[in-house]
Amino acid sequence: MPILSGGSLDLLHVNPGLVIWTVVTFLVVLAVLWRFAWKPIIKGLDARNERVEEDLQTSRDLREEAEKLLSEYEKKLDAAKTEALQLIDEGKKDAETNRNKILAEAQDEAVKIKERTEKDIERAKLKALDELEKTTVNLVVEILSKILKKDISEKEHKDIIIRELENLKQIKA
Amino acid sequence: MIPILSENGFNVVELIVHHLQDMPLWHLEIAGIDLSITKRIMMMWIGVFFLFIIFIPLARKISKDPYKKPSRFSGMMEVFIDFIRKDVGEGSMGHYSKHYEPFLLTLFFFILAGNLLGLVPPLGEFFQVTGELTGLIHHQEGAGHDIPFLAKLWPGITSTGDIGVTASLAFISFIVIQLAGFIHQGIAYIKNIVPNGIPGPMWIIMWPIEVFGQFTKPFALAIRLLANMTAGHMIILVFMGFIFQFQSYAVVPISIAASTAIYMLELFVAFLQAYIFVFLTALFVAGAQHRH
Repeated sequence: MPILSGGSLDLLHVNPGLVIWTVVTFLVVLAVLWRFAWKPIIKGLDARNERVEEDLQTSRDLREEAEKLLSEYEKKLDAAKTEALQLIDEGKKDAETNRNKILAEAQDEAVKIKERTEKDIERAKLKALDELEKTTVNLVVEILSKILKKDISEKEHKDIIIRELENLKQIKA
Repeated sequence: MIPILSENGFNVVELIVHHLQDMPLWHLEIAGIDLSITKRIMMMWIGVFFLFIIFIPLARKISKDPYKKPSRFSGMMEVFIDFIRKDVGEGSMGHYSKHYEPFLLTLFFFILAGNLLGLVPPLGEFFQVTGELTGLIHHQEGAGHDIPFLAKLWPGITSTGDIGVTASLAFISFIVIQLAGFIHQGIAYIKNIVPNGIPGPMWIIMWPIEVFGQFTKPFALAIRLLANMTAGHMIILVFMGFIFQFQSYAVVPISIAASTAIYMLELFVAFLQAYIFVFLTALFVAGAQHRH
């Protein structure tokens, strides 16, 4: 069946020699590549695929584990944070109460000291007055006895009184 | 060789015939059968040589350490192998594909090598011509019309562009398909060719049709590959022929651009047709494994 006239190209002409060579060549190639190429290649690729699959599974597991750990730690961290905040709050509150207490105590103390001092002053004043009284009385008595015992003139009398009063003034001062 | 540019002018048919016609390189006859080594056989063997030097070292490398990162080229080859195994084999036959993987892989790469080498210009002739032009190779006197030895080494023709080759491959596929049928279904395969649920009387018509179908499938495989591998080359040659036909420089850019475009398409078709051949074979094998 000549397809191209003018030339002699017959596309559907089967050359028996070519068929035989093709079949022989193909079978030889099939045998050689089967034994020396496809078998080891398929084995190697399968091994690699398996390994990759395993690695993927392992990484998935690891990731899951890591995520679990992460959430655990996050929870722990949260708890720690809350605790810390609580501690700080408590500390603040404690400090506040302490301050108030110390202030109150100091105030109390101050009041007490003041009261005590006032009392002390009062007492000292009373004591001083008392002593003054006693001294005055003694002096008067002394003066009187002196006046009474001595026979003195009116002028002397006057002088004595004035002198003693001066003494008294000095003592008082 | 057929003169391309004769005194009568250029003949595009002669150009096409010259480039697409198989011809014997070394004559050989055994027991009355013409077993001459032709251009296509030579190119087929070059393809086989490439398959060997690509895949045997690759296999050695993989079996030495399967977990090592493959080089770029090996990685690409592994992608092809994986594709044929998973998408073509397992995709059509499921877990039964295991036993057919080496066959499918060999078939794919055998056809692919033939298709791709058909796109490489005849390197032998190229070297011969440049050698003669530069004076490095002396044209042998007395050799007459015989093809020079270098040109015989790489004649540059598509081995899969011949019905002899595609039919042989389809025949091998046919054998594998039928063997798969008998291995998986036993002798019942002969009966099970007819799909399930066909009423009794229909069998008289259906069975011969189905049997006939077993032969048309590989026939279609052979013709499809042949036509695809021939058509593109013809178009490229016709575009190139325009230059000589019109004897005008103005045609040159158009011809070059058009043939480059077709060449790119051919590159794609080379892969596509190898894939289709193997994919359909796998589908037919899967079809023979189980009753429908």
